Amino acid sequence: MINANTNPLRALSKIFFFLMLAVALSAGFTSCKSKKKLAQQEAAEAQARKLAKAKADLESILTDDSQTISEKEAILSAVKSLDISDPELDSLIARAERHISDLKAKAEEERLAREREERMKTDAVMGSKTLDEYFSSIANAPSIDQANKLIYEAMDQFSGPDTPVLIIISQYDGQKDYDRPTTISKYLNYLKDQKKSVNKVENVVLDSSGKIKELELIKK
Amino acid sequence: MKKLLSITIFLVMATMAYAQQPDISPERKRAIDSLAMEKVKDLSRYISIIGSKDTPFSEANRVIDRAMELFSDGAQMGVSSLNTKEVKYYGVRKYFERLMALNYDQVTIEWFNIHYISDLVRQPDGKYVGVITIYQKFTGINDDGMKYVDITKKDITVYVERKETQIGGRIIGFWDVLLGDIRVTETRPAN
Repeated sequence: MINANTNPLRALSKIFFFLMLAVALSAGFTSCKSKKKLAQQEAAEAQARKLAKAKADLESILTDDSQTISEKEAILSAVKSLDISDPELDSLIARAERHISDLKAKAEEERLAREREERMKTDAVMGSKTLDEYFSSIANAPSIDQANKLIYEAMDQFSGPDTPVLIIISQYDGQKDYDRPTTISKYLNYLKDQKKSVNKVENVVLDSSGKIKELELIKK
Repeated sequence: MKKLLSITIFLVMATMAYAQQPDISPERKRAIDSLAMEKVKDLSRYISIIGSKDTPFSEANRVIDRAMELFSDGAQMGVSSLNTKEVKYYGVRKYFERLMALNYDQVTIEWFNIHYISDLVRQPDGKYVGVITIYQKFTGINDDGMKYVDITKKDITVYVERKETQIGGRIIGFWDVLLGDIRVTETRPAN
């Protein structure tokens, strides 16, 4: 009788089995290692792409004038939510924040200037001491001294004595024809000299301090 | 022959260029007529201020500067008197200075019946030229009762030119009115 445990054929097949198992295990292990590496590489590449896009988005905040402030804020918020740690990106984020802040301040300043301009226009038409009233008062002043006093007062509303004054003499097809441009100082003295005020305020442009930096008049 | 041909070509091209200039609408023409008339009326007021003995010296000088801005370079003013047939011509600044220094205690100068005798007409160079006539009543009175009064008819040549300037970063087109010589055409005593 032959013992199965001592059967050489059986022993050989067992060895072969374990050998194959070892080979299979070894191959599987190597494959797993490669996949992990690939996954790491892919993750790194994805991160690099994400970083590049984030930088491009931040650059667009700084350079693209067609974006609104809200759009810029949304882009910045999206980039920050990515939570990428990169010194260059951090620097760009800081620059973008400053840029948006500057734009907001500028927009606010422009809004206030527009408000002042509108107020000035309204005042010029119906305010308590309007420009048109100044013009009329100067033209009808009873004396040179009185006229000069009014000119001095009125000048306070202007950026300076050389503030340009344009007088529309006619309008056609949306185009305006002007008289030779003058300055506010000359114009106010003209009213004093000629003792007539034949023009009224048509438009004013204000400077950042709310003073008139350009005045447009039109024949009454 | 070549020279004659060049001149002919130049003249034809100049004529074509002139013909191609768009004429302005009647509304715009009326606006510049009115603007030129207004400048003459402004001058009338300036002359009255400069001549008045009530005007402080500094104001008169300032007004002379303003009045000078109405004139083209080299413009002259004719001056006449009932006492002489001669009409003298002075540069306008000289005229204003003489007017300011007239030897009367009171001077009144009024312009009236101001009107175009020759409408503004476009010239080949694009400028408009016209003539406005005015009548001036001059009255000079001294404290001793001496009084001189005359009425002078004067013709003022008016030039209007389209110009452009830059203001606030944009181009502004404007009509520049300049007065030329003022010539005396008649002097008579006031009735």
